[in-house]
Amino acid sequence: MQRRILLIDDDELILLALGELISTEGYEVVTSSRGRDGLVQAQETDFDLVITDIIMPGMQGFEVCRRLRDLEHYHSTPIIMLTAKSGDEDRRKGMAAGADHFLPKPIDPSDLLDLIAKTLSRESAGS
Amino acid sequence: MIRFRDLRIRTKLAMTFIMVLLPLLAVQAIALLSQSGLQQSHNSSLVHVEFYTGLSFMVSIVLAITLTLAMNRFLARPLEQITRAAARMASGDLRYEVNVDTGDEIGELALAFNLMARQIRDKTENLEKLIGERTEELQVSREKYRSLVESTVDGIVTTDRHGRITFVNRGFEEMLGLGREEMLGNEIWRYYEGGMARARDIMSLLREKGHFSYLEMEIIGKDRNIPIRTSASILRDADGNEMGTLGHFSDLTARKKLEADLKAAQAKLVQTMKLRALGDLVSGVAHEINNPLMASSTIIHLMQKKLDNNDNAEGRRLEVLSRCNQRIARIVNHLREFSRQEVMELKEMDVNEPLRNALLITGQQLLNMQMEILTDLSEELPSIKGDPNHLEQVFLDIIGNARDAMDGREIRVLGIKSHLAQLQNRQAVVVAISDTGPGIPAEIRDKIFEPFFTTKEVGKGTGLGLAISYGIIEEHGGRIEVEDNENGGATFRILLPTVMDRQQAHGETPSTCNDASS
Ligand SMILES: Nc1ncnc2c1ncn2[C@@H]1O[C@H](COP(=O)(O)OP(=O)(O)OP(=O)(O)O)[C@@H](O)[C@H]1O
Ligand SMILES: [Mg+2]
Repeated sequence: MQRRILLIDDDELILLALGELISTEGYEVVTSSRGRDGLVQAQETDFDLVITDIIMPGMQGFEVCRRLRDLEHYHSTPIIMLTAKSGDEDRRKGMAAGADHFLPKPIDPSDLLDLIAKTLSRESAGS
Repeated sequence: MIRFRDLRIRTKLAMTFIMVLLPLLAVQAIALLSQSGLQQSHNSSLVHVEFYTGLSFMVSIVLAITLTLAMNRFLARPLEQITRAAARMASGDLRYEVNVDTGDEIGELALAFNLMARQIRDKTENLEKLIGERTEELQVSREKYRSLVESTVDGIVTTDRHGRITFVNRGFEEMLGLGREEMLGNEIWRYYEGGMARARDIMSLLREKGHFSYLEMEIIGKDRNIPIRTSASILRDADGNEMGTLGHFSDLTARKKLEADLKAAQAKLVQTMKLRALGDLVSGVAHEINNPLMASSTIIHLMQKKLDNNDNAEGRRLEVLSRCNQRIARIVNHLREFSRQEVMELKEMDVNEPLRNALLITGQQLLNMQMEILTDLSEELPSIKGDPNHLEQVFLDIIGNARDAMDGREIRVLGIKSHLAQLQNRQAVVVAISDTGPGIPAEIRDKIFEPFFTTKEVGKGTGLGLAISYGIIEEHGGRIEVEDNENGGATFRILLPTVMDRQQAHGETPSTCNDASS
């Protein structure tokens, strides 16, 4: 079954590039440029993995993460956060919001793909 | 019985007069008698005339002698005594009294004279006492002024009309580092920076108003020029004639130094604020570039992966694009480091640890470039409070700079040394990194720490390395110094406060190496 990934980032270029990258690997990708829109989409479709940027206009990544965890389907769905800063502060806040992984920008394409693959395989092994 | 001497002088004169007059009258009477007798007996009368004339002559002589003696006794002697007394008085002997007891006007004169002498004596004695008192007062006040003049740290100098020094106080001696015996008699302008011309300016200022205050200038001391502030006035005698000048000099060295320190601190503050503003800007820019860069790198990555063979035209073009992105990424990285978004985590550590790591990373490359590395790391260094990653970054940049500086030069020796140093009042761990490159030209020495200052080819350096290092070391409470070596290369010295000193300073001012300079 094709794995579905939700990608949230306010930068269109990131959405385009990472969308290309991830879909080339055979995943189904849905992109969203607003946190709030992303939440709506998450409720419409059950995604296997959510990747979200932190700093966005409107709803920020932390809030998106928290709200997802409140949804029944996303209780334990892996969430990857893309951080612009490598500081511990973001990491701490992200953990508190319920994120699983953090990737500092700029992201190496292979690293991202590796992480996705690893996370999803663990997920499928666990379920 | 009335004694002769009791008679008043008028009586004496009258008597004298009678005594002279009587014999004359007697002679006159005898002469008359003899004339009438002549008519009676002609013969004998001639004998009589001769006799009486002789008699009257004798009497006159006796009288004259008596008179002279009387005059001498009653007039001349007392007067002589008074004269003598006056002379003695004139020569200062006021104790001498005239002893004339004649009871007449001369006696009275003598009494009056003695009285006068006594009065003068009293007055003089009073005066002497007064003078004594005043002299003492004067001496006390003179001593007061002298010690005032001598104990003030300010310099006080007087000159004569020709500008030659007639007096200097200790303050002036100490200010110049010269003794007064070296200065007295010399023209004051010899000690003015600006010499004669300066002295002429000062004199015309003085003549205009008689005095002036707070002129700032420099005077020439034994070892150095001393910045001073001077006030001066013209000295005049009682008639208003110019006698010379009085000058007062305050040493401004301490104040000037304070001003300079303040200026430096201000400049540093401005620099820090500028860097901070720049940091914000740079971090914003870096953040903005990051996303499109990441996007384009991702696409290039995808395309490269899709190509079976990267050795064709398309593959080579993609490679160029990829390298473009790598360079942009490196610059962005530098910018982000410069803006220091990451918070530093200071912990107790050994400074040799990041130094060794930096050497490990660069060592092979340096050896490949045939550079000799001389390390001398002290094993007895006290701990410092630092962030090993950031310090490693500092050492990497400075070693990288040394490498670049020695590239293509004949002698290539990199010196790495760590040791403990005693600063003014605290200890510091010092890391010295020296090279045998061309050194740093004086005209760019204060620019090398500025962000974006580089002399390297485009693409080789961003000019941020030292700016970042500077910030990191500053946040460690340390400082970086640069100097040229004797052999021409450069030495970068990083000074970091030891943990112990940081703790000791706790609760007072934060311990840094910065305020220990100079
Ligand atoms: N050891 C040295 N010998 C001679 N010049 C030096 C040395 N170290 C630094 N400089 C001079 O200081 C400049 C600034 O150095 P800095 O490390 O800040 O920037 P950079 O090395 O040019 O670029 P970057 O470090 O960002 O790659 C250099 O371009 C160079 O001119
Ligand atoms: Mg450099």
